[in-house]
Amino acid sequence: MDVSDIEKAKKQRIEILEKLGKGVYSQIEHGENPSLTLPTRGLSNVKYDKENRIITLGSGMSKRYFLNVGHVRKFVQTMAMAALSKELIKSDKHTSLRSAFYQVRRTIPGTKIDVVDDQVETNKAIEDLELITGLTREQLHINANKAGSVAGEVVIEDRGDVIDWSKLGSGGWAIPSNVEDIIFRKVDAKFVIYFEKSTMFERANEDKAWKKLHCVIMSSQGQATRGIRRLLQRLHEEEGLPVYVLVDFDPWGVYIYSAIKFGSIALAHASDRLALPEAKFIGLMAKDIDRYGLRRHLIKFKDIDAVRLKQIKDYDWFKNSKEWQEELSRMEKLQAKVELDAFTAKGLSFMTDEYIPNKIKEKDFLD
Amino acid sequence: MEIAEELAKNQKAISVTEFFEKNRHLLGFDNKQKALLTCVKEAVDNALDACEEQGHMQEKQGISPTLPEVTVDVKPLSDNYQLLNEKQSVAQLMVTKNEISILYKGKTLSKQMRGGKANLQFDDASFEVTENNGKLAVSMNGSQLGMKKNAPVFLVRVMDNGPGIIASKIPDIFGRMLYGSKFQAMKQNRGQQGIGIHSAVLYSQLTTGKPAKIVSKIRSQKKAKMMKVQINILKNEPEVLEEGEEDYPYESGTMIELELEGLYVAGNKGLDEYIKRTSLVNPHATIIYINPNGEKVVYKRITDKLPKEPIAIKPHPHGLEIGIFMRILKNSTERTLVSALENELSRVSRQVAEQTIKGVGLDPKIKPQDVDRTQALSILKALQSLDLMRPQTDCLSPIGEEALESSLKKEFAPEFVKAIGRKPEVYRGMPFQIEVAVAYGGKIQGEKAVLMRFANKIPLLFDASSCALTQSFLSIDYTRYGLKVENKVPLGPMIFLIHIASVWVPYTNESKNSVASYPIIVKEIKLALQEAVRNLSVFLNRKHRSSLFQERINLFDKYGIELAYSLSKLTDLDEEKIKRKIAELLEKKREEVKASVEESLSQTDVVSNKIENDVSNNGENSEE
Repeated sequence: MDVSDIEKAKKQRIEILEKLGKGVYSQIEHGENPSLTLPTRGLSNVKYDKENRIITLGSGMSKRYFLNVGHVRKFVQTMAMAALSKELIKSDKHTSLRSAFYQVRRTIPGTKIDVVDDQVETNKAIEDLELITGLTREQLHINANKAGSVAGEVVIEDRGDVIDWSKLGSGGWAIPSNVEDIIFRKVDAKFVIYFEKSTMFERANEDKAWKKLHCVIMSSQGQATRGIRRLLQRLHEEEGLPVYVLVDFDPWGVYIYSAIKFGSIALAHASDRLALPEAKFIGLMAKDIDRYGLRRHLIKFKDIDAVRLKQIKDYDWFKNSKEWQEELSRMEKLQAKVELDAFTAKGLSFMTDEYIPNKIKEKDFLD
Repeated sequence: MEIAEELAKNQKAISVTEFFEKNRHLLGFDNKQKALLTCVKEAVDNALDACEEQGHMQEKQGISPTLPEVTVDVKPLSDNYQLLNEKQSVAQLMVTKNEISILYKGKTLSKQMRGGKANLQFDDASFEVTENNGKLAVSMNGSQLGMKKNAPVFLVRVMDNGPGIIASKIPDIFGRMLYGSKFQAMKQNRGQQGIGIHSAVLYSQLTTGKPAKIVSKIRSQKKAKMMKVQINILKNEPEVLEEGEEDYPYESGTMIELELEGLYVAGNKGLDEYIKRTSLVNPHATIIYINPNGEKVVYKRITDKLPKEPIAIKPHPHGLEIGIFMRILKNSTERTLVSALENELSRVSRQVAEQTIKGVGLDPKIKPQDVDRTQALSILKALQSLDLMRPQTDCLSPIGEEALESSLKKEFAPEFVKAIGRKPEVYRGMPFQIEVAVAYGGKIQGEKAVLMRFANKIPLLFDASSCALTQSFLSIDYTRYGLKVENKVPLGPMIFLIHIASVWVPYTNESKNSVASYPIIVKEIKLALQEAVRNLSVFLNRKHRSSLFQERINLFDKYGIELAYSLSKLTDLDEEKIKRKIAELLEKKREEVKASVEESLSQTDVVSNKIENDVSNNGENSEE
């Protein structure tokens, strides 16, 4: 991407937002009830695209009207967010989700009504705006918090700064929410491992496992953020690196893998930019429990774990996979989970010295 | 006379006054504020009772009844000092504009100050009062006395247009404790224990040494009789100190004047509130009230209809106590025990009487006076174990739903008012009836509901927490009716009024400010309250709905302002122009907007629907 491309893209985005405003104004001028059309969100309008192996938004559309008691507030919030986004793009500034909330939080003159009362409202308005405009949050110049780390023998350029991921000490590089403009300068790695837990990342980073295994290691706390998912996708697509996901043996871990691989329900509209159908699951698997003697570290399921497992087992993208159904049934039978941290009982470096090399050597994946 | 009898007589006299001294708090004289109120209350109760009795008798004679008109005038008379000799109280000094008085050993002397001095000579002491630069000093037999300021003295004057009292009866009625026709009658009256007015007279006598002044005129006399009466404390006998004749402003009636120590505090436990509430439950009476600040308030009657006459009934065995039962037998004019039971008690047939008497091993033909206490007790116990018919309940005289509602309307001009009258019920053989009213908004102020308690049309202002009326009021879950609540009390500008009418209100003590919690009484109050609150709730929901409707309609104007701002940023068009366009749109789409709001209300208003259903079921089902 060169500079003129970036400028052109910016202009395009401003035009999309202006068009949105003009459309609403024209409805007002014509005495029509102003409305916005957007794809319906939620599980009811989520489809599993078997061919491309990603979760996509269905064709269900809903309309949001200004002259409707239930819609008016959201309508106005979405428009306020659109206006903010236009200003941000124009002035080439980015804002965080939290700041965006403060930037539109104002009292309507002459009333006691605040445009937004809670960040939940602005977050939703931003997601709606993404759906309406087809632009991502990052393209609208609104970023999530940094929440994730990466390390490995990779050199990148970010806004003119050159960064070597192998020279960032114990913390690694903090992954920003917008990784679109990163340029990979030198990539010396054979694959990427994503850890569910930052504690595991820190452990591996301390051992410089990325050097030993010749890979990139990455994690956040729990669910992978958009920035991480986009970064994984870019490393895979642009640099051809296989991506392996290592999570706890429990339904929540499986869903972290699922979101990275197929896309998430909440962000189904962005799956094509975020999902990574080639990602591989390297554990923990039911069979590892006996192979690595983890049985004594089993933690009994709580009710909520069992419920979540049932839901996950029922998702279309797992339903059609025989091996996943079998794996999930094994978990169901055990009614127990195991945390990645249990490996430390076998030695601090056991995971990077034994487990991961074994998995990769034996190609012991779930797909 | 037997020595024992002589002693007994004395004992009785002493016990009555001692009873008063020891039980001031029970009688409602435990503090000066309450004392002033209690005295006014006793006089007003008597006045209203007398007026109503007269009216009912006139009605029976086919004459149109004279409706009650009661004047209550409370004047601060003087400053009041305790005179102390080495910290011992020896006498009392009262100072008015013209005169000083000293109360010494139960005797009062008054004099005008001359040249800053006044001498008062008692049998065994002489007092000298001097004034220097507006400061008073008193010496007794030449030695200086200490002075401690007391509650001021008030003159309480209550005047009615009732039937008046025959001169020969005046001393007993006002000057003898426990005298009165009401004491034994099973009839709904305001005063019921027969302690009332005498204790007021006694209290005034004890605090100021002044007698009560009674002026009473009966129709057949041209002039009213005036008497100054005091109570001989030792003998429990009235003493008339002065007699005369006076003019009277009505054809008949009684006026009483008492001088007493008191404290006047405006506010919801004070005199003003008492008068206001009294007028509220006596819509047929005009009450003229002149408060201690000299301000006159006239509460005009709003109906010419006299309340139904309460009928005296005979005692029902289930509510009878052994003492009263013994007295009934002693005073009976029946010749045999069996006819005494049949005729002096309610719901006891001759057959039941005979079986009961035989059942305890007595002869039905003996004289009722020959039954001793043990025998009487077994008869009473036997009667109480029987499943007798309930006493007749037509003896009660409720205020009436309509009268209550119009009273509240007149006083508070509320947005909503609803009165609920329950059917008469019986506790321990005593008929009673509950009435409840609730009023909302209008001139009613305050953020919390106010509970007004009444028993036999008397406002109850003290001892709220121990009262069954308060407890029942607080036991309702008002949140169920969509009301907000703080400490169990519903929030909002509202008044709850609860009235219990009974031939015998079960007060928790002699000061008659708190009703005892019999389960059936509590249950009746709760049922009435629930019905009233259901009605209030429906009203409030409608009100809320219509204000919500307007609020939601206005929502679009408000959000329109915000939309114009965002759109002008997005489109670079003029914000004011967009605002105008949005206003035009709202004008054009008004009906559509209304329909949308209407729909949104019908979706969310589940609570009000539930309650309206409740009402149409006339839900008698209680909450327990």
